[in-house]
Amino acid sequence: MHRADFVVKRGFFALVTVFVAITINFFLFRVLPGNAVTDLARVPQSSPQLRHALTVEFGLDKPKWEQYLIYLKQLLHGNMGISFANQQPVSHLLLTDLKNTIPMVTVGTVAAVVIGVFTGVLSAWRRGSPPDHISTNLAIFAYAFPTQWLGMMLLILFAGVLPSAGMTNPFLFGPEPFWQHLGDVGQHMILPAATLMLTAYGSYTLVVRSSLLETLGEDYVLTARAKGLPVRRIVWRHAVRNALLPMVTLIALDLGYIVGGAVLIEVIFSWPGIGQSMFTAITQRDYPMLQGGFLILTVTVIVLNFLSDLVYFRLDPRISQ
Amino acid sequence: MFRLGSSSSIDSLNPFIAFQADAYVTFEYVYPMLVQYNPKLQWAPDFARSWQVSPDGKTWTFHTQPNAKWSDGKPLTAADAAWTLNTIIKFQAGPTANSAGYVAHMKSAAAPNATTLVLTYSQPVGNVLAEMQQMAILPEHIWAKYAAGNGKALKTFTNPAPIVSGGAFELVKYTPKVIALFKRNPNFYGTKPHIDGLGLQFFGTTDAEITALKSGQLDGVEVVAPTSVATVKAAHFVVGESPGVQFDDFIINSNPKQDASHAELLNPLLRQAFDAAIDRQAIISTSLLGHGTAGTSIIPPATGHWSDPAVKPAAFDLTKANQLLDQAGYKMGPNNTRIANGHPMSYTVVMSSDIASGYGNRSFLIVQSDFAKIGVKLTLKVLDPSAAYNAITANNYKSFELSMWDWYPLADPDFMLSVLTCGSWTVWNDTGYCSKTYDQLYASQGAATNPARRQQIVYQMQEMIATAKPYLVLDYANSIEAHSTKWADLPLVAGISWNSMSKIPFETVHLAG
Repeated sequence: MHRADFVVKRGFFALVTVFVAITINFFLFRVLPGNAVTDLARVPQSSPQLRHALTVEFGLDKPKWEQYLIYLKQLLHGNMGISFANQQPVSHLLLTDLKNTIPMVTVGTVAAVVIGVFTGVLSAWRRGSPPDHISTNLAIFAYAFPTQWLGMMLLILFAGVLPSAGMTNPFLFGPEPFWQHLGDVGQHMILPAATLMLTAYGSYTLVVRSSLLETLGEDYVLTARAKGLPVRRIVWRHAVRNALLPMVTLIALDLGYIVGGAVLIEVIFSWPGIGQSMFTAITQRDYPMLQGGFLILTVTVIVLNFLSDLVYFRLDPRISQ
Repeated sequence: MFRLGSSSSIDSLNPFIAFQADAYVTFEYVYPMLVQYNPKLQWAPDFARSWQVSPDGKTWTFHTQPNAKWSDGKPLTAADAAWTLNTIIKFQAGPTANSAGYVAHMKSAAAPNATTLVLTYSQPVGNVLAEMQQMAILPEHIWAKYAAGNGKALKTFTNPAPIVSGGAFELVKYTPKVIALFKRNPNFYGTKPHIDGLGLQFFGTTDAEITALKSGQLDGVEVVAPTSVATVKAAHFVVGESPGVQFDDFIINSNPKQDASHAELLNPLLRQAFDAAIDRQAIISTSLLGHGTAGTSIIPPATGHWSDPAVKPAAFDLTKANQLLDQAGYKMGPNNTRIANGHPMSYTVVMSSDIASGYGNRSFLIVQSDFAKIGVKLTLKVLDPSAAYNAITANNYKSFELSMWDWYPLADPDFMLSVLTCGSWTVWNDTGYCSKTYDQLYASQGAATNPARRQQIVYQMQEMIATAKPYLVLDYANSIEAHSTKWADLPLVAGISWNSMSKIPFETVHLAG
């Protein structure tokens, strides 16, 4: 297969998937019991007139297919709509959330990848040894811990030592030097990023270990050993490079977190990101916010998968054969 | 600066959009209201220094504060109040629909001079003060341009901080989901707060909030869960606890036209039996850890003189409950489940997820266990609030059987009484109850400008509901909040210091010593 054919074919499938995701995003929230007006009309001064006014205002009085066509038309114009809950443009709200989510999830994911690769290599290299047992069991434990439980434990353990909520100290006034601000953000980021790292690194450890063990049994590794190459060089220069191929897919999938936000982590640590917004939007049936948030999430995952396919194509010549 | 933690949020700073409780408290402190409650739940002056009603009950005259100013230095007069009210009246079918209740039966508002506001109604209205207590007076010089044309801009205006304020504080900074910072308003017409400012920090969970309080990141928290009271007390914080207005309830479908498959739920004997089979003390000691009192009326005692003392909680008596069901002719069938109208007495209890985790699940298990002893099988179905309300109202209230939920009534009884009217179906009504007599009484109390006469009707309505039993009121959960010992004189109004009923608590709070 030629590279161009591969890219066009994969690109076409990615576009179809995006369109299907847009359609599912639209209908998924509308088939759930309950609707946006039920909650937002529950204010003390509510009346049938308020319910009707909100229904008309949100366009929910129109047939579903018409709402769908309006949604598609808006999307083609780059418009994600207006939030039902606070009447602000969804794109503006999500952009603000993304700016908060991306740094925290990036730090957590990168830390998880680095620690996962290191412990995975260590386990495979020292297979059957006490470090392997400790590392593998810790990875399984961390992978199995419910995120919310782990987050709560860290919150309790580090009470008074590290900030429990938010991404900065909101009571600091006046213009502060950039480094002081950065330090404040970093301090607030430790607990949520650590929770994310602890829940994610285990899968990397297990995948790297398994993949590296397979690679270490290959003939070319045996040849390298027979040639007298140092073990460290065989592992890091030859085996690890090939063993990391499955990690490309795993990381691409996990990077979806960067825009999806780690919902539970953001709620526990009151991190003002996209995950917390989605949580609120679900309870309020804020369809435009949900559609916008899930659109960004699905498109990002699809694009990252597309990119990982391209990386695979580049790294593994067997795919093109 | 007093740093307060909240697990609620401000969804919008525009009074024509806002939904969340913290938004309404913000409006209370930032904007003038005509009147407010004092800690004894009596009417106290706010922007209006005095008021009177005409003999026919159709004209209310308020005398407002002289020489008042907005935070930007512009005059704050009765004309701002008149403009706000007339704007709500004008657009009440559209952009200002969420405020329409404030102006029910109001024909117009006028400001003949800077300190006089005259409200004219088409009929006598008994709860004018309660409605005016909730309505934020907006600065006409800021908002007038948004009320032009069809008024749609009234809802698109974000009203961003810093907000031109007329209340005790100015809102100087607001970051969604993070913080709202208030600064003392030097132009405030009332008693100037002792504190320089107030910071409201938002938390995703109450655990994080309590952790922040204990570690000195906060001076106080809005709400303390019963499970955290001991921890907070042990850390030497001042815990304010008083009977709350919130109540938990067990709902029995009261639609006279409900499906035949559970029509026995309308039988008064069954309702009495269910009431007698609820162990309120067990619920209070287990689910509320003792921080509550047994439920009686739909108008909680904490609202003051509107609650009817003649309505008493039913005594827990399973023998009596069994006798009542026997008397109704529902004989015990297979699996220790009674048979009613040819089918087993097995019902689904719809529960909203907002009460389920913690209180709801624990209380349901107590009720389920006791109901099993009288031959009634209950199954729990937890749904999120929107889906739960849709399940109750589905098929015009014909399908649902039982439910468990809660209410946060206002200090004035009008709203809570309105919930059970026929007109509240699919808006607030969560029982399917509909009675012409009750509706007539509701209209009468609404038109009674004599408080004693109104109280008499309100009592009559509570007794009517206590007999019909669309709600079995389970308990009144205490209001619990906490603050650091370095602060003093933070009074509670209806059990809460940070609430939308009064500016007094944060006007009076100061550093101890």
